[in-house]
Amino acid sequence: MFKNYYDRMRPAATPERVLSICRIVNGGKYSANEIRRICQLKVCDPEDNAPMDEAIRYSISAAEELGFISKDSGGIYHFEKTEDEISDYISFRKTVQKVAFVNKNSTFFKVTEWYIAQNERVFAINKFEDFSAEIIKAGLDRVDENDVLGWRFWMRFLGIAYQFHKTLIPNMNIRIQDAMQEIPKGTELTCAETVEWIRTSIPEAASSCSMEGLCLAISNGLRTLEEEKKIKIISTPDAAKVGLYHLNGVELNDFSSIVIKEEMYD
Amino acid sequence: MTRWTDMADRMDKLVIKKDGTATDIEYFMATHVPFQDLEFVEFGETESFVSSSNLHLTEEEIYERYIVNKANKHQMLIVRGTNGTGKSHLICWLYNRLTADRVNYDDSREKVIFLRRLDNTIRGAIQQMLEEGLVQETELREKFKKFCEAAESQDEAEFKITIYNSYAMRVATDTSGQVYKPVMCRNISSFMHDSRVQDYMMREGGPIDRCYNRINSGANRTGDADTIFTEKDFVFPAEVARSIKRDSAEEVRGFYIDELRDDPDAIAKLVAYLNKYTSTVMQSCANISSENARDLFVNLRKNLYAQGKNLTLFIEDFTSLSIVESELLTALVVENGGKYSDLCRVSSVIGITDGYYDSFRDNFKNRVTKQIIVKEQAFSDERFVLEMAARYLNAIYCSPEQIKSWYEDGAYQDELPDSGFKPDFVWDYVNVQGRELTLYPFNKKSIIGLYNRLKNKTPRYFLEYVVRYFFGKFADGMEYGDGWEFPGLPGFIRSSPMDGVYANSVEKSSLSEKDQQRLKILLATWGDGTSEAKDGNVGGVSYAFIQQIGLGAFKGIGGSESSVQRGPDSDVISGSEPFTRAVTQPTVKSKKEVKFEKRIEDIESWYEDKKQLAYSADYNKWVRDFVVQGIPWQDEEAPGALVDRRYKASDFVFIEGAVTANREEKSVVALKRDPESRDIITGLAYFNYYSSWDFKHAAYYQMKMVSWLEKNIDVFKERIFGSYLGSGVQPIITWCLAVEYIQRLIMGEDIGKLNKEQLLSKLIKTEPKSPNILHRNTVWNDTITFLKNSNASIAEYIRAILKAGSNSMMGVIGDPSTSGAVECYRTNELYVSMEHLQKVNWDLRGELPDKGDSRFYMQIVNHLLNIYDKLAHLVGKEKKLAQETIDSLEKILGEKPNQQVLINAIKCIRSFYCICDTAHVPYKTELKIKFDIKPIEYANRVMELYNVLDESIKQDDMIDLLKAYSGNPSGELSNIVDDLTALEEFAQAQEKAHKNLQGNIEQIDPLLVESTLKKLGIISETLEKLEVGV
Amino acid sequence: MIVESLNNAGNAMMTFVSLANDKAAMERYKDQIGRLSLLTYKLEQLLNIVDSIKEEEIATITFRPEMRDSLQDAIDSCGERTKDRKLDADTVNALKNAVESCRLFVENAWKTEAMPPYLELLNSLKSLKSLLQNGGEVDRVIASIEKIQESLPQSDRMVKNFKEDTIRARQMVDDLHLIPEAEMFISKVRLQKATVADLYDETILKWIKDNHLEKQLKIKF
Repeated sequence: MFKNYYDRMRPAATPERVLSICRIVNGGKYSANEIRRICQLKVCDPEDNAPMDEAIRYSISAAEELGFISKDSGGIYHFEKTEDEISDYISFRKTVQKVAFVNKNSTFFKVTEWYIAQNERVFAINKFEDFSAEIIKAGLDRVDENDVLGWRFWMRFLGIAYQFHKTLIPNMNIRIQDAMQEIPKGTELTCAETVEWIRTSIPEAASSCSMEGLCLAISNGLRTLEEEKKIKIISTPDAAKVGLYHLNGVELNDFSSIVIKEEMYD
Repeated sequence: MTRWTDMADRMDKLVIKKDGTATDIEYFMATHVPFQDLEFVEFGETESFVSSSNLHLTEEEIYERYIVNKANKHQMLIVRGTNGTGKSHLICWLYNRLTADRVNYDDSREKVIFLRRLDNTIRGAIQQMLEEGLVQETELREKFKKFCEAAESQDEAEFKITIYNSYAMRVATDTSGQVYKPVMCRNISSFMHDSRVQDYMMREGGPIDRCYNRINSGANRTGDADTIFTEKDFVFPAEVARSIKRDSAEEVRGFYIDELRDDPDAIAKLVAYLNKYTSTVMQSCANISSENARDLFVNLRKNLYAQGKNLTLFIEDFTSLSIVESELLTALVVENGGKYSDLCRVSSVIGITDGYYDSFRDNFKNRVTKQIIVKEQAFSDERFVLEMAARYLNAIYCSPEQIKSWYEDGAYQDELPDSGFKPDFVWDYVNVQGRELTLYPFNKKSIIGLYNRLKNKTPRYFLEYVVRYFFGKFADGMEYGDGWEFPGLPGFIRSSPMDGVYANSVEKSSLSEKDQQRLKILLATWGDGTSEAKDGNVGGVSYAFIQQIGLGAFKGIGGSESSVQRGPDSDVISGSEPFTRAVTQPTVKSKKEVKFEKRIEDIESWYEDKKQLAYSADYNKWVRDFVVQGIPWQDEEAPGALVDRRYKASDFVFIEGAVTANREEKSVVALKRDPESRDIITGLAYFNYYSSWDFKHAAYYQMKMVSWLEKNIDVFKERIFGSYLGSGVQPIITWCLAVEYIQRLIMGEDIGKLNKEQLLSKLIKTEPKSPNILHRNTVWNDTITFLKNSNASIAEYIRAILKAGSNSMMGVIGDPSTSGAVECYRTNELYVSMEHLQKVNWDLRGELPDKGDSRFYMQIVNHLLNIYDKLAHLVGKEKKLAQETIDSLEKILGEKPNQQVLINAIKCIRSFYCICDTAHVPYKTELKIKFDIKPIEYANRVMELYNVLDESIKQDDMIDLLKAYSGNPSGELSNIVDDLTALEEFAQAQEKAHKNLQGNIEQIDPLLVESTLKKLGIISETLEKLEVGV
Repeated sequence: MIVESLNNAGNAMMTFVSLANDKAAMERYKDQIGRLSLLTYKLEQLLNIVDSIKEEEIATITFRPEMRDSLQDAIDSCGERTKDRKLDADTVNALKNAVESCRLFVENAWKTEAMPPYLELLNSLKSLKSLLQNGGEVDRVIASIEKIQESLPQSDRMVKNFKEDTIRARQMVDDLHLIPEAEMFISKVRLQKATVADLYDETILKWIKDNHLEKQLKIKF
């Protein structure tokens, strides 16, 4: 799923499973087969000689690619991160975000970046095979429907998009919120600072955001955060402004600064 | 500056009269919009009525060709149209046109009468004719006068009697035998004449009363005659019936009792029969016999003819005349010439409602020469409506003097007065006769829009319900500056909403709710449906105007970029060009589109008008799907399987004001009737229609929906899971594990000693075994029965939840392709659950909630608590049994058991059986077999059981006791004791039996033996002492 | 207690079994015991009688040593066998024979040695019977003595009775104050050889007058 280069994105490695495997390996050192047995509750079954299950294999692989576990020369996995990082799904998510979006060469990153940049162009897509067709047309790595199915699970989990029937709704409020945890409470970012911050902290959206304007996913994410009263979007009349993705019917379609409020923090 | 109340006053009294009376002629002329497109049909046939072959004429053309009537022909022109189409208007105009026509109208030669609706009785007509000096000749005039008076001076009582007698007389003289035989007719007549019957028939509210009123009111059509007499009239009240029976003449009594009473068919027949006479009765009784009035008219015409004059007759609405009167009018319209060569020519223009025309036709078919059909088309194009509005407004803004003097000067269109009134900002106007007449306070868009939304699109409705209604409210607000109701929609105009995404901006403003409503209507109807502020307008409406009507607090939203808009166009009509595009006929809509529009309307009326939400079943489903699919439950540590279950159960969504009766407290999602919910449901409706996000404002709706979702995620999770959602461990799963574990122990599965991995595997991956032990402990058996039968389904449910809930699920909940088929459990969570359970020794009573929001997990909790409860009783009783069993074992062994004791016992038993064999004593093999076991094994087993039971007596922990007792050790040990007891009994029986048998063998009396031996001893001694000799 | 019950039952059964097995032997044994008992009784009686005869000074019967020995042996073996429950007919018969011989010997001795001295008396009594006043009693005594003479008394009581009878007989005879001439005269009478001539003896006439026998004697041709 997250390999450093062209990789398939198998659906079987869901966040739930990856987290589960991380927790298992945190509890001890195991080979892949042992992990399988633990996952299948077959630890005490002496007759078990089932083959490795695909779901488990890919999930182990994803956990490894994300740096949670590593394999030694004997094929035994051990846990590489801290217990805090897997204590709950939010910590897990934040840890994954730090890794998954660093590697700009991965298929995962490229597809995510592409998606964010599409803005409304994805609105007409209502089948996953159409997603893959568009991705290929865009000249990215070869990605089939199955890959899209796998990729979208992480989109939902990491807070990039929401799935509804077979469409994906771009709104990065969770992703932004997670990333903003590191900004001190009450900070007011100017629009320029915001853009800069996005470009560094949310690399997958970097190419779609600039002083000319922010992409739809980020814009709606910010608007959602404002509706949740976690930030305040301010548009001071004579200040420098950056445009938000235009929506009819909303008060503000641009902003000069953003204030991070207390409710942002977990 | 004229006061607004004055203008409103003017409107009510003069321009659009509130009292419904005819407008004054000057106003009529000032506001008349020329008919441009009247359909004209030769002759009276309707069958040949095919629109395309008919002529389309303007009013002026009709006037010139047919009213002026230069050929002086007798004619009858029918003007048809549905109610309110303006036919009376046309007739009125034709009349006025004629009388004002200095060129063609010579009042010395032509007499014109205009029978307006209000006067539409024969009496009134004749009165009018009198007043207008139609009747010159004195004698005739006297007759006319007398006629009027006579008609008014009827005594009501006499009149009624006359009516009644008229019926009775006709019945009596009916010799046709068609309905009743003459004999019967006479009987009926007598019956009717019977005083009691007559009194009853003449009662207030009775048939004669009705008939009288009918005759007098003048509103009558053929149909009404049928209901003068009704069946009810012949179902006499008790005292009338009794009175008849007692006092009436024989033939009356006979008729009543034998023929009529209690026979509904007979009554119905009589009623129909009598009603048949109604029209003739009414005619004759109106004291205006055909002869009477007809004579007058004939004489009039003779008179006129003699004077060398002709008659033009305009009747505004013929339909409102009674039969009687319409019959009489035939006299007026009968053609001159031929037999009637001494009668003047009559040219009549008669307005008739379409529905009536068919029956009218029968009477006058041959006399109708032309038809004019006034249809909606004639007046309903936009140009017409706009012009009409402008003229009326102008008439309101002008002073009455202006209008009057214009009329007196000839009422020439090109001299139409201009009020000159305009607001001081740019505003729509209409060009009428070269004048720019303002539409203020309306604009073109609102005029057209409101007109189109009328349920009945007729000028009358338009004037009343659009112009007068709105102007009135506007004037009121302008005058007093507060309490604004303009523009509020009356109920009979369908509302049309603002562009959905902008509604929010109004709702978020500081305006009061009432003002928000007003503003929304304004923006939707006057404006372009948006609330965008641009170029001094808000939503396309001048901001100055918005301020004028007290809504200035709303300044609109800045959104000055023009964005590409997709979807249906919203036409903004601003500027001044008139346009003649006809109102578009609705194209045929697909079913899907219709369905979609219905839902949009439903949502709108639910929110705006607080109506019930009719299609809530659909919305519930969409909202539910959105919530369930939008949240990555299982990735956020909310077990997917459990959400899936809740998703599939009912009552997921509650919407306030919905027609489906979900209950709020049971639902996961609760939507109140507020703007946010409105936006969400609307967005979903659009998505449902387009099956994608490819529609206008999709991004807006997405943003609203996602924001709402995020704001409420915690609530949703709580509604499903309560506060029992964990990180790293799931309480609900822990509870299920406890249930499964304890249940299995109760059922006797030997799982007490398994380690956590084995136990998990067993509890989750295997089916529980059905026990085949019958416990001595009835409470235990009852509990097993309980678990197997009455609670089988909840037990299964919990097992399913345990298995599915601890397994990972791949996919989006709510998507049918999602499954938990692959086994990849969140094993670590299970371990944590197990560790916890082991720590509390499976007793969760201290940490279970005693009530909760979600029936879904409360079922589990309640079941578990129930099990604990039963368990307590069960082990209590079992403990007692254990003690009893131990005691009985000790008793039968005669001492505390230990290994040696038992080994001895077995050995003893076995040798006993050997003896039995030797003694050929029969015994039950099945009992023996039980002891055919290596003594050491037997001893170990018994000691094992004994020790378990013995130790258990000292314990108190419920679960430990359960574990100890799960395999039914006391049962087993009891069985062993029973076997031993059985054996003992057997042995005792055998001992007894054999002793008895021994007794049957003749025994040597041991005393005898003893004494013999003693004697021998004595003798022996004696012999020894004996002297012996030779 | 089950063990106890089982044991008891076992015993009872075994007992029964063995009993059932030895039944025949038991029968025999029982018979012999009965016989033995009887024999012992008889022997005891016999010895009592012998003893009683000696005590009444009627006679002294002495066994021969070999008789005593065989009795002794027989008794011993009976005793042993009894204890062993092996008492059989032969052993008892042996005793029986020994006892029978003994009894015969004793009877013989009674008859031949003990009795004769008393015969004379008996005769006297018999011949004097008619002269005696208490004829009934005389008869009884006579009968009793006669009877006993024939066989051995069955009990020491009978021995005692005999002794008393003989004493009574003597008495009776003595009562008759028999002088020798009288005695001779009685004998002749008895033989019907007494004549009136004998009466010329005054002593005899006096004797008849003294004992009131005048009417008792009849004259005959």
